[in-house]
Amino acid sequence: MSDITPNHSFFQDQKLPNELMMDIFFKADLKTLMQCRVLNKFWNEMLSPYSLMKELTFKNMDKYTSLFIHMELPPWENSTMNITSIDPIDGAVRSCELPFTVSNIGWWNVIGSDYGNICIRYTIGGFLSELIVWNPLMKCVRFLSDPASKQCCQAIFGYAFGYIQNTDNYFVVYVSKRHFNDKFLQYHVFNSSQGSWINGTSKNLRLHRLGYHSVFYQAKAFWINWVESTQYSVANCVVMFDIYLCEFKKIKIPRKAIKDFQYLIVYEDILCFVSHERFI
Amino acid sequence: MGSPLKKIMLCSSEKEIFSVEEQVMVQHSVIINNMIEDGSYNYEESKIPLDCVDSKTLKKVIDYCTYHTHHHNDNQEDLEAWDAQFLNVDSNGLYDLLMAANYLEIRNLLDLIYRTIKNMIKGKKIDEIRRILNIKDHGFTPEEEEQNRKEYPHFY
Repeated sequence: MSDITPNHSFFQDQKLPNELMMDIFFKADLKTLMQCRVLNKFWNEMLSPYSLMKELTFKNMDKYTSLFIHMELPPWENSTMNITSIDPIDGAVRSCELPFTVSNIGWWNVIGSDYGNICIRYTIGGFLSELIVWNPLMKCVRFLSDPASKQCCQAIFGYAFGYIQNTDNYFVVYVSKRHFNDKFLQYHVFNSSQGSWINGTSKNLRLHRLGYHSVFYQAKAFWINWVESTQYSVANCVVMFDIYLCEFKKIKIPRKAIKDFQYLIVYEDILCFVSHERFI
Repeated sequence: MGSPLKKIMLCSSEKEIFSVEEQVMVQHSVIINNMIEDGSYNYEESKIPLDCVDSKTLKKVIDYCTYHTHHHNDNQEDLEAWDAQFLNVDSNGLYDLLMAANYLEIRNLLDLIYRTIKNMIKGKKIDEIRRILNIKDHGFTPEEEEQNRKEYPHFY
């Protein structure tokens, strides 16, 4: 595709009618459009309503892919105030200020991200934790209560966050087990279309430790269940939670697939279990 | 309807008459298509008055529609090259073309111009975009402008 750029650089005397400008902005990429919000007061008001943001999010879905690299160092080791964004097009690394401020004993971690939104769990002072769903580009934040903050210590817990494909409906899932010997697992599910949490319990599964990382795929949340072995934690099975049926299931991992490092990922619309040997 | 050689008359703001193949305009302009279809156009007498399109711009618009009618089977690259050459005009010319395309509702010409303007502003700093779009007064208070600069430092 050739890039069509005529020699002239700007409109000198004329002003484009607003409805034509709107059309142009709508055809522009999301980044340019966001930038046009600070052009002037008029466009700031025109391009800011939530309904418009929503429409744009869905219009631009699947156009941009970002690469999220999960490293073993927890993010709070690096900085308590910023998250790093990497532009998938030009590769630029920017630090992006978080929408909350934590004290020196506070912390935060990312539960998951989907459709440009990031779900983060954080605590300002170290005790009560909160959940937010945050869109860093559009600067919108939704605060959710964290079901874990109402409970005491849990032996096992896991979070997951994701959208139902092609809808604006997202879910946050929190599953927990108070004690290893408990006969049941608890779940809390936040449904954005209802704006509230539902909770319940489900029959026992023998779990040891749910991985920090989760995958949300086709209305199901997945975690790796880890067991301690002599040297490393070893993946024992994949745990699935269906948000509609509110049921847990265990998926066996083939013996051969268990290596030194393992990971869950959705690749080309298939949930994959990735594992590899340790390299020295 | 209408044979391909049937001609219609378009009248520019300078009252200059342009005779164009009916098929060419009907295919591209929603407005002219509607006019022909509802039968309000008389082939013997009517001239379609385009009071807000000057002769120079109208000639370009007709060039565009004619070329795209007769070359729609060409390969994409050749068409794009022709489009790029076609839009090699100054900013006043681009503005006039945009207004004419909008008035006549020529969808693909509008899209072409939109794409061009979009490419002009893409990846530019905010002051440059304001200059391109001729926005002289941003209307933010100094505090708001300061806040914007703080929130989106990479736009400035």
